Amino acid sequence: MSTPIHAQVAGTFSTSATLAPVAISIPSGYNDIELINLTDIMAVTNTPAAIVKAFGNSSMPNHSAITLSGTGAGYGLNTAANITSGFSFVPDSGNQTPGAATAAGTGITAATPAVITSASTAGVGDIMRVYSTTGMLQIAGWDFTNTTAAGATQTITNLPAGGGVGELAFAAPATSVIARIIPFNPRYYPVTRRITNIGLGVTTTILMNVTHQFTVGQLVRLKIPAQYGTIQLNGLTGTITAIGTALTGSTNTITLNINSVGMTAFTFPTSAVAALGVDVPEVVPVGEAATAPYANFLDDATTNVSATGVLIDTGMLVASKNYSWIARKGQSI
Amino acid sequence: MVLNEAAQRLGVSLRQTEDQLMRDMLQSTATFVNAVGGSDGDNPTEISRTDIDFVVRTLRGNNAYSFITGIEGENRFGCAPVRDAYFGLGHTDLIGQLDNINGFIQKWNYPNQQSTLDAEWGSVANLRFLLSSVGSVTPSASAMGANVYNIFCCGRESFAAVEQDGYSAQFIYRPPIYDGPLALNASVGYKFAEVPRILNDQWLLNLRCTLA
Repeated sequence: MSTPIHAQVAGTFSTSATLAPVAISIPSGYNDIELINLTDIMAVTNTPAAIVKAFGNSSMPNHSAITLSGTGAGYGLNTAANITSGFSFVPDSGNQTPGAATAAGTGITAATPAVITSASTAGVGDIMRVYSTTGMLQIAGWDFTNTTAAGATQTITNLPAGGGVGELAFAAPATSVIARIIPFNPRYYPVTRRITNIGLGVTTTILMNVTHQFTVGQLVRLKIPAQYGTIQLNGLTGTITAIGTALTGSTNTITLNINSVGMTAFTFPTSAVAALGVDVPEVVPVGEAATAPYANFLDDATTNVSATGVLIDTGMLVASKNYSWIARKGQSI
Repeated sequence: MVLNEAAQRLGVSLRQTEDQLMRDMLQSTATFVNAVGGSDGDNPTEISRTDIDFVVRTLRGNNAYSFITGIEGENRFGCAPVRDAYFGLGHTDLIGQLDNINGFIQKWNYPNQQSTLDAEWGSVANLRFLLSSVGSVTPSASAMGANVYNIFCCGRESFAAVEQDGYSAQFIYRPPIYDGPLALNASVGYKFAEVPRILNDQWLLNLRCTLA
């Protein structure tokens, strides 16, 4: 028992035109939070009804809040308990423990993009760990970013498993799959990512399994095991010259200053080969170029990006508004 | 007396926290290889001699320095000479798995115990294994959904902890008078600021394996 020196901390933020969840980093031990929509709190023509004030407590379930909202000329505040969208107190955003395993899904399509059918509740941007992918063991144990809203299916835009030009042409779909949500990125940036496709040419474009977060000017090393085709690139380092070049339907790419003209096309081993145990292709961050035209931004610095704090769901927020928040903790007696 | 005891416990906590941060950095950033020489039918497989040979060959091929010199053979029963070695940093759950590897030498079979480490479990070829209860595990990450154990196989100076000037570990004690008018509770804690960092990515490999 001790008296907290800072019993209350506060801050402000503005939402962008495209809503995204807001993460507020606060020290551990705070168990109450209050959110105020500064733009709308006194508006009498607040249509449609916007949440203007919300309360959360660490003992409430994640994604829940008590909210106040009002609308119209006869403006009055209405109280509601919201259990699907709200505050989530996060004790450690470096936590990599997968979410609960749901029942096995019916599979993954061998198409571009690959689509999972499962009971996973993953939403847009969530990282999913997939395993027990019967018939498509090439990707069993891999993490992927989901690119569709929560529903019966999850789309892996970063896996061009179809048979089109430059795609991976997987021989068969998976007939079973378990997909579990990985709640956060790893504790340290930058992160080693796995390669899901390579575009060959005067420069080399690399597609990765999870949203990569690399920046232009960083230096990476490629690891390409023998089963993945483009072994000529194995061990080479390259400087990232562009981000987001489209490759087989995805822009989760980096472009490297490596001339790969004439190299063997990238491919995945068959499911049968993967069942015997295979290594995986990777992009390993090793530093930065720090030469013209890339300034020495130290973007490659090893950084602990984990935090304690509160996540605010988009359902609590309105685009392009100003918000303030107050978090509190008290002395237990 | 109580303060001394608290300091000792906090010291352990401090060092384990440093280990955990270093572990998390290595797990995020290091090059990894799957063990494929085992026979448990998963991917990665359990660790095998061929996987260790691959790691040693890779580190030696990249001119990584070994951590410690070998231990010369002596004329004693049940002992064997130990090669100069890299370190393999892993989880204590690997106990038993390591013992089954072809060529494994238990720590107590070393010719002498002068240069062994508390955390050491044994050696295979040019890799000496140090195990910890806070070793790295990636949950449900194998092809069959089993936990994957990360063994960080490293050469000398492959990674480091960069400490900020004047902000290395500090042990902080505040007497009860700071607690309130009745001076009921003292507080003790530590703080530190440091950055774990890979210095040469080619002198370090994360060997991923499952348990058979």
